[in-house]
Amino acid sequence: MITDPQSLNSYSYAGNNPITQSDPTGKFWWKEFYTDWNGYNGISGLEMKAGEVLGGRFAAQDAIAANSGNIANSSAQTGVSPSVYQAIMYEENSHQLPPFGGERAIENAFPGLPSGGVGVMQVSSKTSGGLSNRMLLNDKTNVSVAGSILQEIQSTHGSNLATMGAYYNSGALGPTNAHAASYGQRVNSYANTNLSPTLGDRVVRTTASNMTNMLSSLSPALTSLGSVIKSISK
Amino acid sequence: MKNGFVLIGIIAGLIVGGVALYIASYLWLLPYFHNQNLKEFSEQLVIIPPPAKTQEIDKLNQIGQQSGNGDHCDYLSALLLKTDIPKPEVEKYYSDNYKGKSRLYFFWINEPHKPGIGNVNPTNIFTLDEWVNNKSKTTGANLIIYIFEGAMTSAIDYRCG
Repeated sequence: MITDPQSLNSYSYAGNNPITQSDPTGKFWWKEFYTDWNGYNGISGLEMKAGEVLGGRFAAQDAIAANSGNIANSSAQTGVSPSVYQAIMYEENSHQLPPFGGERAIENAFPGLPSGGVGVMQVSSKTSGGLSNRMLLNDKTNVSVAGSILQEIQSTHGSNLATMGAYYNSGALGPTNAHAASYGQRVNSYANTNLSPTLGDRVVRTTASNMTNMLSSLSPALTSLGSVIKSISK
Repeated sequence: MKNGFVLIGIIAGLIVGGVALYIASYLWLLPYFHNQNLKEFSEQLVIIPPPAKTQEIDKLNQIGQQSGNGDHCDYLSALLLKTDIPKPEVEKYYSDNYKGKSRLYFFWINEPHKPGIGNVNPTNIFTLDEWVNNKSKTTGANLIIYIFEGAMTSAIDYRCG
């Protein structure tokens, strides 16, 4: 006997509205791709959002966790709240496309590219008074340099995070520039949001982990196959 | 079974095609369109001939991430000048002859300025570092006139990372 006819509705688990309601099963974790743009726009916005939804968020969470000491040390020197560092670090890292860490690998291989330090905080070599991109790939240096920039912005423009983010992004244009204002709004929203992994993040992370494990388990088999082929060819 | 292979082939083809399109856009297609825009943008400024007693030391037109942090495209067109004409006259000459829509900036190198954000030159445009910090000193140039449209969406151009 069906006591709850509504359970026959395949969307009932999300209150009949899988687009706007929470998704406790994780079946529709990708819905965020079209329901929460959070200031992204244009082709690059599509790219950035894809990176975020496809797992960039856990790369960002890892970066924040790995840099907690660097952030605490820099924050103690600059007077800028650690939450500001974390929010900007989250923004800079959360939209990397898979394979995760790929952008960091590219930065390491080609440090002369226009941008620098994608893996931690994106601080172009040109913003940092002569520091090279390779130096900015050092997490401690990168966070420290970014901290000095944030300190300067905070002392000039105040501690409103949306405003700080806009100046951090644009240099001097600040929130009057639409792109920089969107960046500032995103940073502000990250500071006011729980950055712990969502169910969608866990689904992506588990899938990626399973794929990695699967490839690892195939590795000995492929090695054996290679040996067999070698021996046959002899 | 055969249909399964066909489906896998189609999906693989779409993925490979998508990746190829992305790379082509990143390295060539979007840069090509940006370059066309840059040409039109820079013509707003560079078509103005220098006034008397004014020497054009250098000029540049560039697209890329040239200020701040993060992914965005900045368009810059700039002239480095050495002029003996008084400041109001130079600024009036360029303002009168400028027909563009972008804001025209005058940066008098030898005047006092507050340092830029992040230990860069006061214009906050990295591309102008070399002129402000070095070239103006060796050539005696005293004025940079530029137009700048900054922090626009990067649109997968490799120069705007």
